[in-house]
Amino acid sequence: MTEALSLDAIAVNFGTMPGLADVTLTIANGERVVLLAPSGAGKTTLLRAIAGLEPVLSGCVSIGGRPVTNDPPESRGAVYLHQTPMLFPHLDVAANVAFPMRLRRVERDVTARRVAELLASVHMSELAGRKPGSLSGGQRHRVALARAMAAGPRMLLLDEPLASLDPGLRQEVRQVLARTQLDGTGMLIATHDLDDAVLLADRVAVLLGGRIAQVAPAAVLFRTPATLRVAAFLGIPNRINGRMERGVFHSALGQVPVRDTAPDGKTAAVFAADAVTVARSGERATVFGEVIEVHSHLRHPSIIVRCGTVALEALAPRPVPVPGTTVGLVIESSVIHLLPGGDDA
Amino acid sequence: MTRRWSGLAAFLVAAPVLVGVAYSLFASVGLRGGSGGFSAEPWTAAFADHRLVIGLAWSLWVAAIATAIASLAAILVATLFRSGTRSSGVARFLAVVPLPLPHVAAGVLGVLVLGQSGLLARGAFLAGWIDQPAAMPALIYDRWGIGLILVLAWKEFPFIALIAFSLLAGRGKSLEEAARTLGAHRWAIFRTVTWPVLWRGLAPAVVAVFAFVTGTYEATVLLAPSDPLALPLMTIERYTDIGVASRAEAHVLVLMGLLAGLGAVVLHEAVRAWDRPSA
Amino acid sequence: MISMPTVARRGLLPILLLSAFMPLAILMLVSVGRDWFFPALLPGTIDLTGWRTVLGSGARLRPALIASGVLAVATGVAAMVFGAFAGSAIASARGWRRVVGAGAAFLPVAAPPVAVATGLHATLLGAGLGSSIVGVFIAHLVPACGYTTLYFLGVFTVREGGFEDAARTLGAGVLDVIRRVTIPMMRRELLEAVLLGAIVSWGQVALTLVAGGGRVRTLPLEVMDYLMAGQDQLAATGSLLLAIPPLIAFGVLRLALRNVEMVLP
Repeated sequence: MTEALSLDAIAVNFGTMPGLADVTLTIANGERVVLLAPSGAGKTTLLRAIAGLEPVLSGCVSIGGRPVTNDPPESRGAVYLHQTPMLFPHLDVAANVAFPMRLRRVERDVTARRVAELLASVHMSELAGRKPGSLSGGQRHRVALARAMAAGPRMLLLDEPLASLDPGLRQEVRQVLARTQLDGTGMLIATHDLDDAVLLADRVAVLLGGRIAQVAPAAVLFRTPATLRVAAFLGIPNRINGRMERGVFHSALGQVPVRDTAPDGKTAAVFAADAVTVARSGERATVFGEVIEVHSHLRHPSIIVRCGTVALEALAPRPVPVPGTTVGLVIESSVIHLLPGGDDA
Repeated sequence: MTRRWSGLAAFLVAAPVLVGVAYSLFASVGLRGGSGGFSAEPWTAAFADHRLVIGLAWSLWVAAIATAIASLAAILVATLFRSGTRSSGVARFLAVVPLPLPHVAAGVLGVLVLGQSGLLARGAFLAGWIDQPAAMPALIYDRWGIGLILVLAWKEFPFIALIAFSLLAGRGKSLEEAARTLGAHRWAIFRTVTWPVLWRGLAPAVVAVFAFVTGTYEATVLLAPSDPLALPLMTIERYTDIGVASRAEAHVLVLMGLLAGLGAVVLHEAVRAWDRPSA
Repeated sequence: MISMPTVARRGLLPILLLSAFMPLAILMLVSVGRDWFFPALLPGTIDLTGWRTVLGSGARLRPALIASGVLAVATGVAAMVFGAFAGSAIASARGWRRVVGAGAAFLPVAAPPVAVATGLHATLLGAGLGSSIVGVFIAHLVPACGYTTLYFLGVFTVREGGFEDAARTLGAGVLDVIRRVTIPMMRRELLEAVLLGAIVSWGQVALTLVAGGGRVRTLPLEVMDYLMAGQDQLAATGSLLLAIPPLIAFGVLRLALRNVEMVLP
């Protein structure tokens, strides 16, 4: 079974300036991959290059097992969906969805049936005769998706589909995307929103510094980021530089026991806030420090503790300690992820 | 996609003008039109003719005054009637109505209104200022080109006013509001906000109008005197003359007219560059 | 206390009103007025002899009117097609290419018709088109294409190109996109461009005179002849015929409310 998308060492320019280099990625049929990157990193450029709307400098794009690097957009089998749904204003909803089939000269009754099917799948059947101008944002996204599916694509390329939506609508469209039947089609969703990555993706591809820094399911990604830069982008708060010596991690925190292994030498340790808890009485603390900040309004309240030259983020205990208190912190050694090479990684 | 064709498109749209200018260049030195070889004769003959220099100066004079009147009127109307005042929409509509009127019709109106037995003269008669048509000062076919200036100013006013309105309704409006909330009075607002916005935005249009009026034929042929003879009229006169030498001189005049327009553009760019540090 | 600007406004409005409507009123009055001599402010009699003379069969204005109409429509359509392609091409260019393109489109608009005509005439003569209506059509095309290119340059600059991109990835080839997306979405702009090109051609005098060698007679030329022969009434009638279509077209276009960057002297 051929893959939906295969990118091999793709290089793309941003206009006339160098942009992306050596981008390699495969997406299987029926797989939802989130392309995660900060704004301006080149997500749109990459998607457009895959769609054939931007030129590729080098490398190979294959869709459905077929190399399409030199093919025009209309014959690649990849549909590009812009951040704001580009529904044709002169056609009503049904005609918009029928558009790809009219292009391929599909017979009218077959088209009509398929259009009805697709509209039903996105719950837009009653609005089939409306013009796009009278639809809400969420409705437009649904119609755009139905229209894209009508083209029978091997790949769906969604460019920041939730960016322009209010939080309530975002949930609605996220659900539509999550529930779309993807038989024989792959989905690549570009976004800078971490929530999208967690809620939508089978795998997440992190695009940083013009390259794919890591591809992994979301859970793996957050637990074991591949580089310090990825960890910083994901918002993992505790990133400590240090050295490995015979299985022990040395840093400004002192000696920290770790389960993870790494060769001797410069190393960085990353771990989330929930790996750090305040030691209860009788518990042996890994390190001591002074509370400098309290974030009690969050879903998971946390505290920032200064331990010497390092500031650690930890889960806030009940009752929440006030700033200035000295606390002992326990760092769960099994969750500490080591990055050999430290910030050179 | 269509990016590749931009070069071809630019070439096609500009080619006739460039070809025309090139032809005029060659013809003005005798290299075209069967006048037998290179010669600076047309240029020397043209400049030796006082009428040409005077005619060129006359056209520039008319263009300058007409453009100035149109611009000042446009600025006045746009400033007084900018969006927000009650009558602004009406004023804008009224200002713009003469825009599509063909220049020939404007010329006809000039004769009907400003002629010695025209409507203005009849009004003067009614007011007792004159007692016969001949006593009416000549406003058309006159040495100063007053009638022509007035008609051209009236025809070009809507174009500049349109742009002025748009400038003041856009960025200008928010800047003015900001100034007002800072406590500035009406005159100070005009001096420090309105005028700079207008000046910078209108400059290209004013230059365009000046260049256009210098070379415009339709109204000029109907309202201008035969002495001094305006530039476009001189050009046509020499071009349609049977003598070959005249044809070459006509091309000299064409180039002079183009240079005048080009000079205006260069002047505009120079002033803009000098003005830029305060932008 | 009424402020000075309000006083000024109240004084200016009547003047603007006069400036807008007096000219048409005068032309209409002159066109139907007979026995209107100095110093009368109103004509002696009102009748339609002027109109009948001008429009009646055998009148020399008829063929000129038809020629003007045919030229205007032909120029409008041709300039629209050219301008749509040229304008979209230049709008998709970036950097210096775009500046050069915009400048190139501005050239035929800014160049005085007399200048354009003299240079063009020689070429037309060489092609055997001197003094022919086809030659005049080509001459009219020069400024008209400049105007329509500038117009579409403005239109395509502001417009989002996303619709065409979306259509391409949905399976539409270049021609399909133009046919099924671009043209249907731009019906209004296409009509406006035709009207723009038509207005440019309709009012041309210098180009017609030079390129047509005086042999091709159009409406503005006839009006000028009437005036210079002292036939004021016929000149006024012809002027109305000349002025009313552009005024109506302008109203239709509502250019006053749109893209001001258009140059329309």
